Amino acid sequence: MPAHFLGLTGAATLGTRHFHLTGRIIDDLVAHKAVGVVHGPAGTGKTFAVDFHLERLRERDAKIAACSLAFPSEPTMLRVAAELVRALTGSAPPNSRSRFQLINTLIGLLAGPRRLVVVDEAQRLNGACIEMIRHLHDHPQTSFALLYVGGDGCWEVLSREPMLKSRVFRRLPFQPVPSEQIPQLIRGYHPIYAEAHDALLLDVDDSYAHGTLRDWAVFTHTAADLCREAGRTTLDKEAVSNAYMLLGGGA
Amino acid sequence: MSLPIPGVWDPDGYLLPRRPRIIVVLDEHDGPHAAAHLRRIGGIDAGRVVVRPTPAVASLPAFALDVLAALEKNPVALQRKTRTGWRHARAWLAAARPTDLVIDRAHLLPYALLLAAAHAAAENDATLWLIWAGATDPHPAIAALKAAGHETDTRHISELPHDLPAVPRHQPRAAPKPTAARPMLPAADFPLFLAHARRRLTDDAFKRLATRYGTATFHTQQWLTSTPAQAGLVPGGALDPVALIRWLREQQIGPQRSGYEALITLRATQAVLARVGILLAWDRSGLGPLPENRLPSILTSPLVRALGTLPRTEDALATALALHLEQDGGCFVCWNLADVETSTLTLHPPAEHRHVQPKTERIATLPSQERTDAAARLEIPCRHPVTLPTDTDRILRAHLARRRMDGAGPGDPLFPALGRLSPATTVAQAIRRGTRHVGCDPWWLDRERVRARRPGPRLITSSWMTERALSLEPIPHPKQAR
Repeated sequence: MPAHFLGLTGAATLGTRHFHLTGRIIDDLVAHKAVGVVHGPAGTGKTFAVDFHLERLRERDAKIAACSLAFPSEPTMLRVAAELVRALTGSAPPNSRSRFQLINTLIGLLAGPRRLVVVDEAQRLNGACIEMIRHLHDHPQTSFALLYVGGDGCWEVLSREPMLKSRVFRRLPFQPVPSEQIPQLIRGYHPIYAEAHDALLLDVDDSYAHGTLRDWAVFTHTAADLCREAGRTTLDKEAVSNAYMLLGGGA
Repeated sequence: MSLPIPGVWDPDGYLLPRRPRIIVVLDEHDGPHAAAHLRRIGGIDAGRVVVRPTPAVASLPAFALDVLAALEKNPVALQRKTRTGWRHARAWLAAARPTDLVIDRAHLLPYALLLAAAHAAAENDATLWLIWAGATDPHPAIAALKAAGHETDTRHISELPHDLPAVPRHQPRAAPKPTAARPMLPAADFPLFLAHARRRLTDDAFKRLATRYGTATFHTQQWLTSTPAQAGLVPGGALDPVALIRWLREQQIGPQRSGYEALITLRATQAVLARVGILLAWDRSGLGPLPENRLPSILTSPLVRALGTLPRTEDALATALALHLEQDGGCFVCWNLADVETSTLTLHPPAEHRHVQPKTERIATLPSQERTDAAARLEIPCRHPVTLPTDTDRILRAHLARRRMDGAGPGDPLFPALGRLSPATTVAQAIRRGTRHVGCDPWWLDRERVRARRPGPRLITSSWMTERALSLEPIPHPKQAR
């Protein structure tokens, strides 16, 4: 299971609708060797959901090879190709490789076992990089599923490329959790919330987390430490107030 | 209304004459359907070459690699861009004889590459299909093609399945029924072969053997009676073994698909030849545990296909010749383009020879029997017609096309010198590259092994006959023997 934010202990995996849909999408992409996009604002749980389901995929079917990769800002096509070789083989390609050789190496690697390639921070890719990945995916010799994961503006960037937009088989936009769902959801997240009042949880969401799961993780990490130091097992107003002070005053 | 496509049937049932055309296929949504359809239109065997350019390809040498890859050349062998790459690509394209050359993602190519593709298609009387995806305006490219003398049509991507239909998928053949394991053939020489086979084999197995034996007998008799020259029996009774060796290599024994078939064929051939006074001897003692497996040609169909993935035509052809003849290429330098008969895949002897004469080529001074044996051992391929197997035709045509593109004429060498290298060294290097590519390691290409096995002056040390421990000699008439 992927680690929670900053190694938060005692936290459960929140089975939100988007979390479960991510698993379904990954299964569909693998089954049909298709292209998918998971996108949404930062901190809404995309990467956690994808990592969780990739692990599940690896455990469930050892024959499916899954690899994840991400790129720095504005990578070049050659950089993307080289990182893909590294992700698939575990080692960097030789420096002398030409673009043709590099891409043919990738075609050979992607023609092998069933595979899912996950490209994180996909909003950083430019048209040339997306075209190269399309070339690999469309090639008659390759056979792999492709998942783009990205944050703010990801879908806007990717959908500007007709070659990608027309090939997307599954798309899942992540959203912050609506406030009406917060109490029931968060109560199952960490033991400190099990007996907490709804109003308190809604106040935390309204003042700090705003439906963003990463922010809830940050708050929980802080609040759990404070409760432990104070010998409390349940979140209360004092713990919330103290946490706000450590987190920059809330809101 | 768009014009009908040439080369297809019109509504009245007439086949329209084919002429080179350029068709720009517009796919404004840049969807996946074009790529999916291109996977279904077949490949070279269907007369179609589909080029999928490497993204951001900008130069002709780089584009040449993509075209060679589309022509099923091994990408690993395409080590780097070269100035001659495009010429090799055009040569292999000419050999493939495509009716359609498809360039996917054409909207991403520079005009210079589109023009090169148009030229290559026109050279081969092929229709050029430019898959133009996205919102990029094709009109500037169309204008550039028109300025170069090419007329274009446009089509919508929805019409592509009709205009360039998918090739029907062949139903996979049912797995062949398992045949009985082939019996071990008797080791007896040809006079007793059939008798031993009858005693040792089951009735069914012997029946099959006898059928094959009878076919080989018939072919040998047919060959002997066709012409006296082909029979190797020239006036005066002197044996000219060359035609016989050639027939054994290219028609009778070489093309056999297995050692089992080759051995039966050999025994039948020996028996018929003996009756006309020719002893085709086979010394199996030094050929290993399954000597009959050494009889068929080492230039098998899979090997020819592997050679066909080489990008350099000289590598493919020189290696095919070397493996066919089982000699290094010392004599290949003699052939000119005019000596090649493409319809029969035959290389005829040139008027003049350029090979280094082997020191032991003093055949004319040897006694009759030694002369025969020496001729068999020291086959000089350029002195006699050599016919390649039929599945090498694409390799031969590609190399001839390449030489023509180099500006070579009928009197120019088939294998020219490269740079400062001598023609013989150029051929030797081509063969070395080719054999390495197909994973072959013949001993006769390795100087050290040649010295160890055949000490003495460097000469033609191997031949098709010697590699099989076959030899020819006349059987003296009983009256002559006294």
